[in-house]
Amino acid sequence: MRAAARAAGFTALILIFVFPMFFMVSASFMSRYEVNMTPPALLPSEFHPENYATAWSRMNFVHYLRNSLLSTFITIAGQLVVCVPCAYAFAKKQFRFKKTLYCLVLFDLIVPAQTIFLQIYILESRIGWINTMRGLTAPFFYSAFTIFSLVQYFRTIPDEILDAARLDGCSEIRVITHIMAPMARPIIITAMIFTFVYKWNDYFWTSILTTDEAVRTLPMAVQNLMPVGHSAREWHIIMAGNVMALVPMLAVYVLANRAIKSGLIFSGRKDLEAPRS
Amino acid sequence: MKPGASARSPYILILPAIALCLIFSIGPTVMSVRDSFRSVDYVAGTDKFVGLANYRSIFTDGVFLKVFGNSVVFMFCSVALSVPLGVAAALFLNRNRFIHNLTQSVIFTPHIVSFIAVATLWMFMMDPGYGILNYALGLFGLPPLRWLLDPGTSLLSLVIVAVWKTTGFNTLIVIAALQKIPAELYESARLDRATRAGMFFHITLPTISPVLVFLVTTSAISAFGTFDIVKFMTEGGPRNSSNLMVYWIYRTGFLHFQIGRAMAGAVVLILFLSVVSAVNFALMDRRAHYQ
Repeated sequence: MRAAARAAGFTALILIFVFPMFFMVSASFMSRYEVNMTPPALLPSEFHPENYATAWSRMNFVHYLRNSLLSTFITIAGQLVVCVPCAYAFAKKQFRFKKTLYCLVLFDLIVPAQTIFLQIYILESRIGWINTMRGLTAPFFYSAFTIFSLVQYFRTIPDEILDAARLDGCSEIRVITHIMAPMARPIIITAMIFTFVYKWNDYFWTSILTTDEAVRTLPMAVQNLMPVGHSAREWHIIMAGNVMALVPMLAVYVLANRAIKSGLIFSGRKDLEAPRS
Repeated sequence: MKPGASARSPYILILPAIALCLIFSIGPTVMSVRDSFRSVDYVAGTDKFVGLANYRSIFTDGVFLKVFGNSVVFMFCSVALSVPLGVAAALFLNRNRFIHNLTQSVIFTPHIVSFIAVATLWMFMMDPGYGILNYALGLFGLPPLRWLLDPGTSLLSLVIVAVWKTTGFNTLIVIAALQKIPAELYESARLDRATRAGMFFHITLPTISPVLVFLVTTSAISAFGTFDIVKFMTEGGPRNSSNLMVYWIYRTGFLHFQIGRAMAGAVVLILFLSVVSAVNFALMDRRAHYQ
């Protein structure tokens, strides 16, 4: 009885969560005829890998992949430069107005950016940053969430080690790059993986801060495969494009599985999606 | 150490972050609140104080009220489905066997990929003509649905997509909480001949309840801030049946150029979300300290 219930539950889980992903990959290899069949075909009767070539050229994959890579890595580099020193100062230095300034920096944790995007758009259009790579990345160099998680970890690093380095004549920058950063490597890597996931998947900010295709990223390329209106959709091509856009993210997930999960459990961060946090 | 340098250096270290925060976060928030009390037209160049007129305007506007109601319904349904589903899947997968770990990893996958990827997949399955979901309904003798294209089912369709994407995250967090419960608790309960249901309600549920509170608040925040699937899958339609707050602000500001009204809506959303976020942040801070 219990075994039967367990088997039923397990089947339901697989059916609900695993099947759609399997079906996506399967459909991406079907012919145009097969993908629109009733009853639906679950497996392609013959493989059509050329769907991928069609999707590749139709969605101009290289252009968007380049933009995705650029915007993601510029954001990561920017966060390293902006957030790491800031977190170090809040975790390890004493200065006036420290509490007030820390509250200020954590402001984004309280007010999600989905609510103020219109003003960011207005600001960027005034300074001519719409449709530019700097407009798409610079606002995200500052991340309240990255700073918060770094500060939590930096606090656990003993002051004695940092003091010893300072006595040896290290400048603050050197203390950060040569002592703090190596000792806090796990949290820095985890935070940057989160930034990667968030920026790679971003659709919200790309649709707000761009009006043409110049700096748009992969999620937009998938959207471009969708015809306007309700004309017949070539789902086999769309699914092929979707799988291609997914592959880099899946690779990161497989490689960094443990870091992502333990990071999420530790920090309790929910949103890899919309808010800039 | 030179005293002068060390007194200045912390400020230099935090300066870039503070500057960006002021420019891209606090400034825009202040401007949002300001513009919500004004009639702003960037094209005509007008900008005048109108008091609460924008707020009066949106709260007497049937569309805004409908959208706010949709957001509440969407939030309630997605939390009410994804948290219990996450708990159920976690109870089920909380065994350290290969197949359970693998299944857990697969269930988590939708959380890590973009909403666009997930939405594209579900639009394929929800295709009113040849979609596999309508075929599945047919197998049970049910009539086909028009899913995203029908005002009666469009919001529900978005709920399904959101729940599918977030359940894996809830499962992950609940499993982590379950694994912290000491096994002795269950052993002594078993000695006392407790039933499985009794153990669940008296041991498991109370122990994981802080985590559940946390999941409910974070899910509520992300549900209320939903934009991607609305824009991508339905554009709020048909007839605003699936329109949610953030998309309403987007459309009001971007397409209708009613900055004042859009900002009034944004302030309502900020107030609502900041209360929930403040609760969530307090919980998160506690977790970070006691772990």
